[in-house]
Amino acid sequence: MTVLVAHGLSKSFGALRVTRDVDLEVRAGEIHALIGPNGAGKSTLVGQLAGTIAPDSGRVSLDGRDVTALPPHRRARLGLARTFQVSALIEGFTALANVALAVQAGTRFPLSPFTGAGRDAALNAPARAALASVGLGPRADVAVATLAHGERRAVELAVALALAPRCLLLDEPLAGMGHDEARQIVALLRGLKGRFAMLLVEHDMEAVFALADRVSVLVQGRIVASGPPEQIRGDRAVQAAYLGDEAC
Amino acid sequence: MTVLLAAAPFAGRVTGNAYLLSLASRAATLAIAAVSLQFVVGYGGLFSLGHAAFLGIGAYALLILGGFGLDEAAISLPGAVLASALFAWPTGWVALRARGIGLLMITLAFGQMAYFAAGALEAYGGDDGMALDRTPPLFGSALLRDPAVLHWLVLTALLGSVAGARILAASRFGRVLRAARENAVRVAALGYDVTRVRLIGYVLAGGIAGLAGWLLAIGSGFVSPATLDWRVSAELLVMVILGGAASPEGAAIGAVLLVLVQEGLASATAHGGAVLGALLLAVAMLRMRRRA
Amino acid sequence: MSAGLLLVQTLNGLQLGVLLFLIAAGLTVVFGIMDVVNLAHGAQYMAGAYLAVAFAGWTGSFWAAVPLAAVASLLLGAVLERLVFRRLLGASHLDQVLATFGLILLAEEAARTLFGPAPLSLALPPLLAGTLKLPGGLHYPIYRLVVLGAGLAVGGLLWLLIEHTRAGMRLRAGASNPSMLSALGVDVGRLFAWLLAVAAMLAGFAGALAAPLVSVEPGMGGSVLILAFVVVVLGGAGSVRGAFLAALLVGLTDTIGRSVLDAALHAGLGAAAAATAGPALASMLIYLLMAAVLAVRPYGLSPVEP
Repeated sequence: MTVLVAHGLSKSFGALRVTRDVDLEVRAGEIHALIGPNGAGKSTLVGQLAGTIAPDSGRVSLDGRDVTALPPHRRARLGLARTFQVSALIEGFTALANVALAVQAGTRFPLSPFTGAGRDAALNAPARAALASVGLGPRADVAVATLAHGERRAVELAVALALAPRCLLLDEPLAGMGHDEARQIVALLRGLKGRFAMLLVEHDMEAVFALADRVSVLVQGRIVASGPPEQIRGDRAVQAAYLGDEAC
Repeated sequence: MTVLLAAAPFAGRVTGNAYLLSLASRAATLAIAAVSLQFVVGYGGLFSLGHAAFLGIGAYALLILGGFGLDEAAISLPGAVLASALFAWPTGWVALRARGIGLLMITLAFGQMAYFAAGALEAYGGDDGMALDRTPPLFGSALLRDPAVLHWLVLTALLGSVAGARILAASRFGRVLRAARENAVRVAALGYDVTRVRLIGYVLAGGIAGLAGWLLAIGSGFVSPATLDWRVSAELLVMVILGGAASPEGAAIGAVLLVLVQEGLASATAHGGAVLGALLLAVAMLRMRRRA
Repeated sequence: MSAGLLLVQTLNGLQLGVLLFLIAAGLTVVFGIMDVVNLAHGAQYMAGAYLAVAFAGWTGSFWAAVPLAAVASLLLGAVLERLVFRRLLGASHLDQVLATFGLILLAEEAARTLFGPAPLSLALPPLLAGTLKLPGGLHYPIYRLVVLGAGLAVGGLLWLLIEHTRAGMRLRAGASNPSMLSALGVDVGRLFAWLLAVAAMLAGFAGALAAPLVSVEPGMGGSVLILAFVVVVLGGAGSVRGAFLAALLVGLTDTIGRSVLDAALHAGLGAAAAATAGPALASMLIYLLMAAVLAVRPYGLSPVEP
């Protein structure tokens, strides 16, 4: 069963065609990795899936529903969660508050002006649970600004989990990580496998091949190959595309 | 500070100085407007340079309702708040949509629009403005004519505004607003309609400023377009900044400070403008030096 | 409205437009590229007007006064940059508002003290004081045409500078992506200092040009500032071309719009309504225009591509 479908997505910035007629789908419970050399257009594609960039043509649907015209917050409410390549947490808040904000979005009165949000057990309990599941239980009450890079990525993950999404867009979750930190996140993601559909955009090949059920390769805005990891590994065209570009 | 303002009516009675009392009332009234602006600027991260429009709309609402015999406080007060909120809604919507240009400029422009509109109301004094027929009755009584009573009312409203701002900021709604101030894209990605949240905050702030305008009109007994001038908006913003922009209490203190300094300078020298200007410049430079 | 009157109003609108452009061009660059909110820009316009009056008094010559005022405005801008604006770079908008608002108060008080609060005027030399007969039969002041010409000339010069020189290229690059400038090897500090000084000069030049047309008084910067802000918003922050288009649009809307509105109200509701509602509605026209444009084009008319 497919959860997220992109069909015929195209986007140009002036004369530069960044996304060319991309078809992509993510099935329930699978981890679908999207790889490609620098400049392939991965960020733009993620933007179109998330709703921050409007495609010139093509469709995006979530659970069969056409969401192409919907802004990011509507897609989020329909179950599309995302993490950001550059950590996008609220620095002034604690890790707990960041995750609680995500929990809050799913409550009956997310914008209630009365109830104090800081001590709200209905928000904090699920938030702590999410943080615990990414191994940050004891660090929940620390201000995000003082967290290490790897911890922040984990908080991002906790935020996404707290949304109880149908589909999770992971935009280079391992970016800027040292080897050990990366392995921890990979282990986390492996633990989440099967719970929901995940699109994993990554450069880290080790992680990709350790996690992915399917891999699609984006080169110069087009999907040049798509299939199980082993098939992609042996694909000549993919290897050629990566020549001269260190797949870190 | 609250103690000081509360003590003012007694000081007024003791020294027989009605001037001090009216000054204190005026300071506290503007403080309410400053608190409402702080909510938008400090908690919401939205830069408004047109806030005086709401002040003026509240005042004019009282004047206009008075013309129809509807100036009874129980009617005109909600009327003033509603009128300001209604102005805040469409102008806020347009202002929040504009990207990369700065809310500041657009709110400034809308403020000017209101200023000109007020000046066009020939029936209500046009450019010169007009005095209120009478002090509005409070549930039929003439209570508001007593400056001390008015002062208590203003103080209550001020305390209420500060408390209300605090509660709202700590609420779920407030958390979303404050988070959006830092990273609106992230907050939207969580499923919140950021524009709608900001607009609600803006409209609420506009309404409270309308309340302040209503009080201001009663305090001075006079309503004129000068209240909506962009310089007043700039002064309100200065009040918020002087108070640190981080808390409603700070904004209130900033307001009282500015009013007192202005009054003091006006009586001390004819060049009060220059002194105030130099002071503000100095404060700004200090703040920036501390930042850098 | 007769064709002759329409021509006059169009010329008036264009003349107002070029003056607004001179003021807004500096403002849009300073706000769009340097991210500095400069509320005191109107005060620089005022300074230019007063400087022109002063120089005319000392030299006895209008022809000398205007360029002298422009140069003096440039110097004034450079001094202010060194003392104040340099610190405003990178500061929060709030601090910038505080500082520039303080500058306005200082400037207005200085003008009041040095020149007195009464409005002053600047006399035109006989050569510029006459009128020209337009097609349509109406007479039009020669000086206004001169202002229009001067403004367009400066506009053309700016266009040349921006589109066809290396400095201009850096400016356009900076408008698109300010953080890239230093990466491109540009001495950002010097560039910004120049931009501020030139912005001040343009505003001062506009003030000097306007001095014979309006009453020169301490508060004259205020209304001009607002209009300039509207032009910046309408044109798109950072876009000089946008500022040009928007300034002309605003100028024309204000003048022709006023006449059309007046005529319409007269015809529709009678002279009384026209007298009361007319001026206010006309003043609001510009803001309604701005709101309408922004509803459709949130980035302004000719925005800089991000």
